[in-house]
Amino acid sequence: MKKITRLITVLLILSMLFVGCSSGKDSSSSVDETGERKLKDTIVLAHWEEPATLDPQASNKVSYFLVQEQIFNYLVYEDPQGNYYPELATEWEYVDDLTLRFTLRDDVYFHNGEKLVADDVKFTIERGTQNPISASIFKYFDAEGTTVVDDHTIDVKFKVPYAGALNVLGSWRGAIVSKKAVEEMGDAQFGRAPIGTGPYKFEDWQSGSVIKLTRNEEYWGDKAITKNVEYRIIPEATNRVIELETGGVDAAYNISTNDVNRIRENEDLNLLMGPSFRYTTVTFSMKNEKLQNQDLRDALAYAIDKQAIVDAIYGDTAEVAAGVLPKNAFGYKEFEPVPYDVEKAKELMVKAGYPNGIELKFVCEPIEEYVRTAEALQNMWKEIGVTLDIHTIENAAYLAQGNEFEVGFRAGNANEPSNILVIYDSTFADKIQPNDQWIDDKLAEVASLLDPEERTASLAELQDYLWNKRWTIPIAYTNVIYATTKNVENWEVHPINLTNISEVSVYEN
Amino acid sequence: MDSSMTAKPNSKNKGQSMDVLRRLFRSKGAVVGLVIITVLLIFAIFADFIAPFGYDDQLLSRRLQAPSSEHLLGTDDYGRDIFSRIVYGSRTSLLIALLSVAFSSVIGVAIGCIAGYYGGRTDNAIMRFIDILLAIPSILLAISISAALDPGVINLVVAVGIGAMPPYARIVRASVMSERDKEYIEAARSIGANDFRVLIKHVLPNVMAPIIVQSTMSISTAIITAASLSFIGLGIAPPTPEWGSMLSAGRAYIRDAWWVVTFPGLAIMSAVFGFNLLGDGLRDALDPKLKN
Amino acid sequence: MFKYVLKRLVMMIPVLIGVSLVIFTMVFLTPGDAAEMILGDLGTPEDKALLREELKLDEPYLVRYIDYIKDLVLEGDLGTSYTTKRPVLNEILERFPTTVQLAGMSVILASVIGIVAGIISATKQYSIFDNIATAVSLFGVSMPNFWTGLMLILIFSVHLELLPSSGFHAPRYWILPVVTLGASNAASIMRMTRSSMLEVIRQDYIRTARAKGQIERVVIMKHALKNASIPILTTMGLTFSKMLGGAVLTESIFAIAGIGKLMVDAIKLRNTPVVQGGVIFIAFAVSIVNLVIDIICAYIDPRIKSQYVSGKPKKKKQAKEGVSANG
Repeated sequence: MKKITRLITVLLILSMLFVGCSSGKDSSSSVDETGERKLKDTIVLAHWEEPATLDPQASNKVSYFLVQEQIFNYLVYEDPQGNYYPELATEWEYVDDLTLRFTLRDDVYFHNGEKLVADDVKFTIERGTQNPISASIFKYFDAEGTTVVDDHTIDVKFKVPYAGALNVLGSWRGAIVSKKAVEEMGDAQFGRAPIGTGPYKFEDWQSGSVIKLTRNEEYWGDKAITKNVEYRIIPEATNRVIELETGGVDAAYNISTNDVNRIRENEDLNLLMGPSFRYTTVTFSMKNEKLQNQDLRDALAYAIDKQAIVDAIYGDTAEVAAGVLPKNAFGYKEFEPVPYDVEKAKELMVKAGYPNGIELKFVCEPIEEYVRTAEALQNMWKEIGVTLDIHTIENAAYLAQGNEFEVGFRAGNANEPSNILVIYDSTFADKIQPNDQWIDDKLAEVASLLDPEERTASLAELQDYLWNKRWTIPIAYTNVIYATTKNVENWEVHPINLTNISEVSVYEN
Repeated sequence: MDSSMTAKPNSKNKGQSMDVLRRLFRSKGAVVGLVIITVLLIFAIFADFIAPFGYDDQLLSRRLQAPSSEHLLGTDDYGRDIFSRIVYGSRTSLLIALLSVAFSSVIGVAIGCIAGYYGGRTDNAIMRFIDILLAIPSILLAISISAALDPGVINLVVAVGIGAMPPYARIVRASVMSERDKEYIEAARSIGANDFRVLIKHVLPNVMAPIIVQSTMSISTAIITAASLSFIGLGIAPPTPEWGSMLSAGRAYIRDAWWVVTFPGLAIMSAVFGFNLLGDGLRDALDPKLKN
Repeated sequence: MFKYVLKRLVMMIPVLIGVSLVIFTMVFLTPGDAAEMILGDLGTPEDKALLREELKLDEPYLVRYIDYIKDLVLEGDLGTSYTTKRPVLNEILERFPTTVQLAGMSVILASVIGIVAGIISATKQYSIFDNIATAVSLFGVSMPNFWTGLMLILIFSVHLELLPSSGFHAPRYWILPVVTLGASNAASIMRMTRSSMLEVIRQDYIRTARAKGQIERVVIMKHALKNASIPILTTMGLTFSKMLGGAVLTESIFAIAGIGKLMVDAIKLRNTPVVQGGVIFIAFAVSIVNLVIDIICAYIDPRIKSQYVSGKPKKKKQAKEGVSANG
């Protein structure tokens, strides 16, 4: 009997240990019965991907920036239409073609209590040019030449006249960090517990599970409505919606197309949808001899029923792409999509020298949207004798063999024309690689033109050229889709998911 | 002289295997298992005749249809017939499972034989290596191996096979050790049979029983592991139907189309169930003492 | 006993070094380049070269391995994560408690169900309960975990809207993952318990006890269970240690930030240090758990202790082979 008692003791101790391991508590809030709608003090958001870091200059994904957006400020605020407004800088002017002078606000403090000065701005730009992750974005910035005039004035220098300057400083990697905090904490730690000037302060980060922010009570602008923000990391799109339905979260990012109708039918939920900068395109490698044949590329383009693909994969959450640039991008030029014409495509196949068909290799990441498009292409191209051999490989392996494959697929998501079109540049070692000097020159020109009209004209030429070359077959412009509960109000449908949470209010049930 | 030496254990084996079969067929579970496996094999071999549709016949206008008389188990998000895909999928899953078990048993048996037969330093070195493999959870090992190799049937076989190899090595080693010093082995050796011959002709037949049981059991494990790898996207490339990747693709539709995730899982489960039943039956039949 | 523990700990070192070599080689052979992965589309070739140098990606295999093992042995340093730039050990230690909790609760659930059902089955062999329980357990071991999880989500989250489907931060969130991971293991523990009990029950001293007219329940508890407890406990321990690395699928279905999910994400991102560190850490944890089980067994059954002291411990082979690899 003694041994049994001992066995049971062991079991009991173990069970207490494991239950003790857990720290979480279910924080269901009490309801006030006054009849008035009561504001909740915490908004819980379902995020699709855990940021690797919250250090703006070490970030290169929207999933990181959408959290940083709440913690940091930029010198200027860029609205989705590309207009600029004062943020940390009250005004700015070009001293000469290579110098942009900013005057900073005098009443801004970082979350660690330090006052924002021009030194912090210079430091931020230096970091941008040094970190491999943002160096290419900051490549036209001259960090060494940038001079602090006084605590509230800074002359930002450029190596060449640079049209994208405000875009870089007004978004993503341009977020101003605290020099003192970074130097005290070191880069890695700063990325884990960032110090900015934004409406929310970083509070806690449970690896892989949740990131918590809390209101910056000393914020220089309008203070946040909801006191706490929790980003819960839920990679599976369906699970984000299930969490929304079961009340685990108040809002969810990146809703999958196939969940859209369910959400619309659910009276407790709101579906929020709007245009984005995201587009998908089929890519052809110009290193491949077969695909250097323009007739073949044209044939492939005619053999795609783009509307059918869009209907099947995106429903009404996307439209057929009608250009090289995403619809909302600066200088966008609309083209007539290549019609679906199997007979024409067959003729072109003969003309291209492949009357009996051809075998092509398609490589993409194992992302559902990509694979589904690939399988649809496979089916459509079968009609004109093209056998598509689909391979999926994880992103890393995929990037590594960049030039080896023939047909690829790409989803782009950038708003600055230079950044969108960089995929056609010779230095861009991925997928297309046309190695076309004319393109390289034109891209450099587009990047440096300051005058909007000249820039638009130059971009139009570039787009004509690219559209006719058919190195890519644009497929779809996809919408950005959010879902919230009915208790969430003021949620801005931001085209790249950077909704400002400080303006959002959540009510008790 | 040589032939008379081997004749004896062989004829004994024959009588034994009849016994084993008789006992096997007396067990209800084993028979059910055999039936399930036979059905799956028929599916796999005659898929082209059984499946009402091709495994990649897409028709977007009939996507995500519920089970009906036309589509027994419904259709998936491309409008492909799920029943047909499951039938074709049995090919992939059984092929991978059987090949990986063959792979792991051949290598495991060879390693185990060498370790058990030679003992000493060889044994020590081999067993330390086995310890190392055992220290890494087999699913993690399979995941890392399949990430290191490109996706494809053969590589999946290797990934699943290596993780399943250690138990064979251990079982065979133990059995060989106990057989090694028995008289008939001594006799074979004394008349000049080389080590390889002794191992193949004399030692191996006597350790077959545990190997057979382990193989049958590990087919079920292999089916699950292969499906798991496909489920996390490290398995077979589309459009080849594989039960695990069907499940993983259907996951996005779990709220609207329960059949897309339910039936491939049922297929995996019945295959595993069949091999488990057969394995249990075989174990009891081969070693009646163990039967409870 | 102390000597034995010490010996086992020392013997772990070569195994762990072997593990590090195996996983290092595997990761080395994996196609894909972390610099490409981190910088992605917008990184220029120069940026990538710079990063590659920083991460020492261009050094030869042996140099990298020796560096790695030097840091590991001399400083207990598992390296720095490529993506977060934080020490790998920190990342692992943040995730590990969640996995331990998930695995622990699942083992306890599985054990309670498995042991109770196993005992009843064994004592009432061939009864209706036994037949049903045996059949159910066979189904249980045959269900792939990830499918069980999806079915539970389908029923309890989607249709009944009773339980959440993602996360592990509050008790409500524990239920589905724990049941998912526990179910198939309950089945294998039940099978183990049943067969160990049957083996014991057939032995002479039980017959003697029965013959002496002792009450059945006492016989079962006092004699049979006592002697069957060692293989049962061993199965539990092995199940637990297997789950430490094998809960990958359950973690990814329920979006649980455990070590398995960390590893799978790291493999996909070619975050080599995290993959290597994670595997070595898990191998270490598994070895420690196995050692603890052996010590607990010795505590429960002093006969085992005497074996340790006298020399080689007896391997509990049967139990080891009985655990399914269901992750």
